[in-house]
Amino acid sequence: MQSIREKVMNILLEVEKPARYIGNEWNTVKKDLARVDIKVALAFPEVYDLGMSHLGFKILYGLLNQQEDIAAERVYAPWFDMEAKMRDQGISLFSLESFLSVKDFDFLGFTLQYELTYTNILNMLDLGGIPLKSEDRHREDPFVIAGGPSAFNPEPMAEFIDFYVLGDGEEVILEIMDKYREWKGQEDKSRKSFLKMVAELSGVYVPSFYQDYYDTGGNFEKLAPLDAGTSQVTQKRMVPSLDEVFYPVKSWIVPYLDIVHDRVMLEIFRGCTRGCRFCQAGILYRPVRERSPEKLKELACQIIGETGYEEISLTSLSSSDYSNIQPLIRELQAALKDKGVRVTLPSLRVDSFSVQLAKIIQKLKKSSLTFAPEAGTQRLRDVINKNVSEENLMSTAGEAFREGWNHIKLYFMIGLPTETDEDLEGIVNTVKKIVGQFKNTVVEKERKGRLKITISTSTFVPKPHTPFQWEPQISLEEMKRKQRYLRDKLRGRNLIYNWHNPEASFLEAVISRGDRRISKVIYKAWEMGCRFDGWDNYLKFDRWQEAFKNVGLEPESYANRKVSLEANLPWDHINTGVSKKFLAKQYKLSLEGKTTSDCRDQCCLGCGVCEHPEINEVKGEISTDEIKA
Amino acid sequence: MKLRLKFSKEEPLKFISHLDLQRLFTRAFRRAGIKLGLKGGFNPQPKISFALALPLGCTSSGEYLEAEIVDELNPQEVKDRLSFQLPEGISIKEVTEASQEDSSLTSRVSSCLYRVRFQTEESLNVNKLKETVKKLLQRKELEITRQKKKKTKKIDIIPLIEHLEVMSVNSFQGEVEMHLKTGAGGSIKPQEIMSIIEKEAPLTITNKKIHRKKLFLEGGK
Repeated sequence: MQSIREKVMNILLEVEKPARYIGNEWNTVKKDLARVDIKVALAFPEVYDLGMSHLGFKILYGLLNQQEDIAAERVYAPWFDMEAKMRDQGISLFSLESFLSVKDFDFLGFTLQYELTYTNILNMLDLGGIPLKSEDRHREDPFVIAGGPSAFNPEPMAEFIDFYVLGDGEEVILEIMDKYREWKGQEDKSRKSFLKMVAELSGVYVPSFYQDYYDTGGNFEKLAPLDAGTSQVTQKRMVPSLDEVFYPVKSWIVPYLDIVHDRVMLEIFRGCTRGCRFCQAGILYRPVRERSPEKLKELACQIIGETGYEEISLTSLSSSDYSNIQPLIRELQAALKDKGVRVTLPSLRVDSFSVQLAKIIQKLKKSSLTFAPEAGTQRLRDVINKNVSEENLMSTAGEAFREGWNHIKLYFMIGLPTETDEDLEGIVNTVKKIVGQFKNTVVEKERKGRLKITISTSTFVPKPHTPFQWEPQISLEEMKRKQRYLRDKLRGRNLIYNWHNPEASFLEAVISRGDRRISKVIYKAWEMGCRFDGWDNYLKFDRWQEAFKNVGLEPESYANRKVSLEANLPWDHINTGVSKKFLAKQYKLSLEGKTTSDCRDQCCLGCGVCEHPEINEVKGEISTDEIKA
Repeated sequence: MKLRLKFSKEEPLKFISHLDLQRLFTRAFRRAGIKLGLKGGFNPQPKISFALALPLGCTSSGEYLEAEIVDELNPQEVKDRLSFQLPEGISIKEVTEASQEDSSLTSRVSSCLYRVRFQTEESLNVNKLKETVKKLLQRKELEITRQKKKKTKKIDIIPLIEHLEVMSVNSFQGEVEMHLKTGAGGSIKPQEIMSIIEKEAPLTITNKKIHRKKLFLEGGK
């Protein structure tokens, strides 16, 4: 019989980008599977080109493979053409290292980065011959586990995931492996006995140990443990110091294909305390923990040495907030210049400091600068706690133009709580003022190249664990109307307007705020052929609507409903370390239009995350001083 | 200094594109600590150029590239250091110093030697296949039509075939070797030759593996 590898190689000339499926990239870890005790498949529920860029995945891959008795291998969602061929030829979903069927692994771990990848997870389980529902799995099936930001509302995928791992994975994943070694050595090898063992670990949530309840009106009432011994709440895991935890160096895989973020990502810090009220990552990754400049320099040089990459990006949720970011950039540049490696920053704060940073980085080629004012008026920016003033924005844009940039990208959100048409007009006015600023600062005739402003709007999604978790999302009709309004007003030779697919934003809201019943809808949607829902061209919204109807749930009741502050929420049993009281207070302040500052700047706001025993030191300083040339 | 590298591209790297291969080499040079020269101002690109792009899906045992390196290094040392940094599927056969005066590699490729192994639905007969090829080559003219966007172009391929020979046949499998011209005077792809054979024989080819054995360079050293 042909091996999976042989079968795959025979069909690859018939699919798009076959290099997605060949593995064998530089720094791939290939172990003799006969000589390891535990096999872990790390699965990213998206196509290779997207999934390969994910940092968390690289960390777990390297960390697990460091263990002698463990082999970790990668799995990605096959693109449509490949899926069709695989089904036609009876090829199981396989790992890229050993071309082993995912069902022959001990663990199959998914990262949940975005709700619209959930149907891909079901499809991948199906392609791997693994029962989709947790309750249908047997002894020989792998444990299907999940983590990542979207796991902080685990309920919509609760029927399919055996257990969730919440928060920083660097420590807890090894604790899970220890439990597995223990379980393999003991007599009771039932799935349930292992689940009981991992449930004892902080950061692990086993959905099957809980029952969901609804009131007579069909509203979510509560989620409660089935056994008295099961903990009510699952605490997220946090690593105290980034200098001490594992970071991939030798296992930093260099793909053949041009993947979306084809560069080294150097995580300079984790967490963000700016406190934008719509932002889920800002809550989930708290507190701020910086890697030391010495450690970063060491890592940067090592990873470049191992990969040969031409670019290293200093990543975090808000990179210009790193204490002493400027000396860090200069030092890295000095260390890597000789190797012909560029240092880049993914995003910028709206201030002069950031333009100066960009100037250090984009010395020669001034491509574009990206800013995110998020809202069009001061009033609304105060509501969302985006501490950016129009003055900041104008002076920043002016400075960018003076320094030679012609292209500015602006990110806004529509449908934010309390938004009115005045705020939309505010977006238009802001953009017009920036165009005016260009004319004021530069002499167009002497300028090479033309002004270009790209405006992108996404639609607000009320996310669990944020101060806006109780707020409704605007209706689909409203989204379309607002986008139409902006499309009409943001016309001009210098302007490009992009908007986010309204149906995708709606579904994201429904699933994000979903309870356990949503599992059935996701299942139905998958059954009806939904996958790659995050891709505008492939989202089949009518089938999703049908799936909701079929299950007997109204999507609007999840997305467009204002939830009472007193109500139990389907994700209340997951503790991010930030108290619900703090979120409620932030919510109240937002409605009063009151802002709060960054806790690293001023005083502690009492979110609660630093009370966690694993956290000792969280402070950093935010540099805003002028940069001297 | 300018170096010429001869290398092979074997399974499974036949599935990576020409652009992927360029990136692969640039990164391998950096890992090996061999600095490449740069060209261009705003967005400097490494000075590395390939003789002739190998189509995705083909293997080869005789590809060439030229690279400008900053430091003076012994070609053998470059070969050793770079080989250590290349994935399974790419191996360097030879590194020599190239003359700065030589015209570009691309402009000097005149023809290529290919070996095509294929499988067929129907049982093959060696004499019949040889006869088909012989008749084909005896023609004064053999036109094929190529479609480029909306334009169709007819070309006579007989002058582009230096040599075409059936090497072996074994019931459902066959092997042919072809020496084909390329470059400014026109070129023909091995797939196109195979399609003609398929049509003329006639047969149904189910699977073919194309291997480039050699590139012929003219001019220069």
